[in-house]
Amino acid sequence: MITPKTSLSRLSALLKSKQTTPTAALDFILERIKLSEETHSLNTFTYLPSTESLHELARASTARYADGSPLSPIDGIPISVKANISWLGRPTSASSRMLENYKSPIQADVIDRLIKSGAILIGQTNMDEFGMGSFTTNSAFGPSINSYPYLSTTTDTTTIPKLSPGGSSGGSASSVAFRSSFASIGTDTGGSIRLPAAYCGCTGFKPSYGGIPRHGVIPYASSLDTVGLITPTPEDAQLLHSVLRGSSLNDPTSMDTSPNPDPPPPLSSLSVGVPGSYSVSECHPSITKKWIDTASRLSTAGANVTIFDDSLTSIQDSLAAYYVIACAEASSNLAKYDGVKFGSRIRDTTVDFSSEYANTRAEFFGPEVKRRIECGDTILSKEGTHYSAALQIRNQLREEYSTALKNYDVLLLPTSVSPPISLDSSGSGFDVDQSEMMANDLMTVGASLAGFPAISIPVSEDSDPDFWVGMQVIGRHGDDDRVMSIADQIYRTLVNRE
Amino acid sequence: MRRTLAAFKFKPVIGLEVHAQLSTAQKLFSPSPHRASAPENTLLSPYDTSIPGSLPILNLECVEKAVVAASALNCVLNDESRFERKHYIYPDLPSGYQVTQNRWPIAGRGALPFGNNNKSSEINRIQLETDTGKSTTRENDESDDIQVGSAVNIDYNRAGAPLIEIVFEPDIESPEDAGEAVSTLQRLLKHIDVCDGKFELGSLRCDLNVSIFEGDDDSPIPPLNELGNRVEVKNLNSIRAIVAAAKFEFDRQVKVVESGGVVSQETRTFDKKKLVSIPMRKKETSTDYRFLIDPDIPPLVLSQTKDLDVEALLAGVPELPEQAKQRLADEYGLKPSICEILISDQIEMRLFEDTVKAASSSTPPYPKHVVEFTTKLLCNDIFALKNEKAGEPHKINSRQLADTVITLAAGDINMKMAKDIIKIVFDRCQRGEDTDVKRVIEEKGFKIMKNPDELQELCQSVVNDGAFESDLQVWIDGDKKLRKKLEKFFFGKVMAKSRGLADAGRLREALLVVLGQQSAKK
Repeated sequence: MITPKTSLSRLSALLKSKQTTPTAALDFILERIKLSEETHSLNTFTYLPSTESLHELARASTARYADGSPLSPIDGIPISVKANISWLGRPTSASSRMLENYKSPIQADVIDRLIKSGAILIGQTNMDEFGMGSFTTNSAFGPSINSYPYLSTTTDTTTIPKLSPGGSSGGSASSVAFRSSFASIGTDTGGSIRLPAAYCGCTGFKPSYGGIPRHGVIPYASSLDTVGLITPTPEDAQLLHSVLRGSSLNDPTSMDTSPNPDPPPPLSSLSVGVPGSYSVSECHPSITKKWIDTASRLSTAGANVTIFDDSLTSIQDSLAAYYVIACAEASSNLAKYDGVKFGSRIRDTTVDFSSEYANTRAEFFGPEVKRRIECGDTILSKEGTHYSAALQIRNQLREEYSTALKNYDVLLLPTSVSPPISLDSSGSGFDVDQSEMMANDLMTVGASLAGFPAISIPVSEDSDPDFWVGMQVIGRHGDDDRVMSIADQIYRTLVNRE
Repeated sequence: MRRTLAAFKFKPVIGLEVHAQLSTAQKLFSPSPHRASAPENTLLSPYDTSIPGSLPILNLECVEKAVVAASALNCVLNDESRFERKHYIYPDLPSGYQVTQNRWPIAGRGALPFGNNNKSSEINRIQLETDTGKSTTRENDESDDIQVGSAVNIDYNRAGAPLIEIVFEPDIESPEDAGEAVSTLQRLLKHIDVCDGKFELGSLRCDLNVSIFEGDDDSPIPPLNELGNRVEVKNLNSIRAIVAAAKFEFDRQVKVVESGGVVSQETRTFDKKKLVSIPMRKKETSTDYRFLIDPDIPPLVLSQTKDLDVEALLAGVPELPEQAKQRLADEYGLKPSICEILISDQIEMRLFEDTVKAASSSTPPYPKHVVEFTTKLLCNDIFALKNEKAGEPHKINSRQLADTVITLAAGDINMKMAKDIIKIVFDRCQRGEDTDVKRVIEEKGFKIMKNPDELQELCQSVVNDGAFESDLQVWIDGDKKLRKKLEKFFFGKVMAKSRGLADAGRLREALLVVLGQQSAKK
């Protein structure tokens, strides 16, 4: 009944109609986890709770369904969470040696909401350290491997390509793709939900900034960090979002987006804008092809698809603006790691505090983290001028997206510029060209900087070798529900799954 | 040490920076209380120790206190202000940055009047910011490196406590003025319940900026670019230290200049025991704080802040000491020294005013003698009694004091009786006994004899007393000088006979009548 192709929504329906139970779902998941981690060594997870504790939760949930009183539509559904989301009593490491043994004294609001809704948190997923990276190759615990190719039923696993699952929520996406969880909660700062979702052939939803509270999320870049969801389908994202959405008193930057239960407009009255300015020469041909393909198929199906070249003109600077702002905020947010209050520390009484501070951080931060901190410090220094320029570009971009979205219901553009890198050669991915990696963020940073809701959906059938090409649907600020329902409509139109 | 004549050519210029801890129930961005006396590391919210994922939640009460302080200091209130992060590394700064308001503070220009002669110091700005934790070796500020090899304990109780920093212009012209200005500020902040003003608990901290210029007593302060380099002396925690530090720094700078040197711009600390300022160990390259608008804190817009009504808030602020001082002088005709005494205690000032009003009318002008009697009884007698009881609050109310004043003003009792009444009422109130002044008067038989017939009768009884026959005869014989003497003599005797209860003026009249009758008889 439950297979690796079962979506979250499908499982929810099966549970509700008592055609299956949370215990059965958990058993399924535990098998998948074993296959993923022990057999294929995909390194998806950084932490797994004891199976006994999980079984206990599943039993309680099963009882609730039997009683006819489930806590929510996701009661009993196994879900994973990214390693930068504070989970009480568990090590919340953000895949960093700096927080390797750190047990948070607080719990993130989003985890509170998951637990309250009865969802079963089956594990914590690997990521790029502190969220800095696009390939999950910057983890202190080794890279995660893209699970999608392992879904094929071939028995000769040596021929399966070892690819990056994308990042920074690589473990999250991989767990959903492989169905070692039915959904995963992650974070998206410059594309860290959308990119891995695309690379793993899943749906990745980044709400409007503040749409799900950030309280308890280990910060990278505060004005960009957005709690997001990775699920098999857009419909799943809608379901999960309905349980997790809403502002919190613990997070003054959180907000309520107006619920919109209306079905999407019929395709014939849907207007889709395709921003030509994103058609860059660096774009991999598979991506360009799929983009054109998607646009024309939608058009054929009746939607009004228009390629436009005006209004989104600042995207050339958007990547630079993103990294300037992100690094600046990161250098500030990571200043707290001195090992005095929590976290790792090198004690050395022969040097003064500043030296001890520096030595600790040099030892326990990975190279990419150090790079971004130093960059951020420089940006914010007295001589720095880039920061205010970046803020101006950001405002500009927000205006431009707003303007563009006055003319169209949604915008359609690819999620990445290049394919997932191969992890085969080095095995560790540490010789990744970091600038190339950053360039890959071009498609996603726009919606991050503007704070608008964006969802990446798969547009391929199962056996498509270009499974990793995702398409983003971007909508108006606060219009999260509508963006998801339109994305769902597009997905159903284009893809034959389940 | 004697100054050389040349020293008189220089004058100091002092700019104050005061950090005041707001007396609020919670910290600036977390719900923890802040108290100097709590055991170490017991008043902590996750945000106070920068637990990753914790977020700042601005406390309205802190904003309210800052608004009230700004208003009391006549500062421009900025509707929109922003919080920024000021970065530096020190173990008692848990997040690696202080949250402050560098470029967009909550209040702008204002002034603090102090002392007499219309002195005041202009204010540049008031900003809200968080306090740091405390380390056991840190006496000064972040410029000190902790000694290598020493163990340091960090207490984060104070981390995140709410401060306002009040930055003054460099316009104070003497060390004594600096002390007086801060003393006035301390009193003002206490009065409006913004800060408890306790230097010894660290609620108030002062930094001085001192520079010098050549000029004599009448020279005005020249523009900034004509002043010598300024030296900052940090973390002075008493009025005495402020005055001593300013004096020392002025003398030191004068010596430097007189010996041909140039005062270097630097930051120093003050040794309270030796009363000298000493340079800080850190090299003087100014720290780059890498200011960043705090992305976790939305801009503070007073007019759009929920549950904040600035107008209502300011309407509820008690009358400021300087205003009260002026008003007491105008409405009651009180001397400045008396006004000064009354404004130092809100409760006694209230008692004073309520008494005068109850004893005369509800609006000025008030009868001079009523004011005078009230002042005397309150400031001489009640305060003296209070001091005997180590300044414990007394329980005499305005009804009791007013009744005493009224009776005194009517001449039905004299000042000695009034003082006695006050003492009795004071003691009874301390014991919790309800007491009525009229009853006390009755009990003690405090009653001035005023009735002319009664008085004359009394005089008669003395004048006709055989023992004084010869004296009476002398008076009748009429020598003017002798008469005066005898009038005094008889006056004393009658007064004694009345046991001091005779009204002096009327007694005199009655005596003269009686004596006159005697001479007429003969």
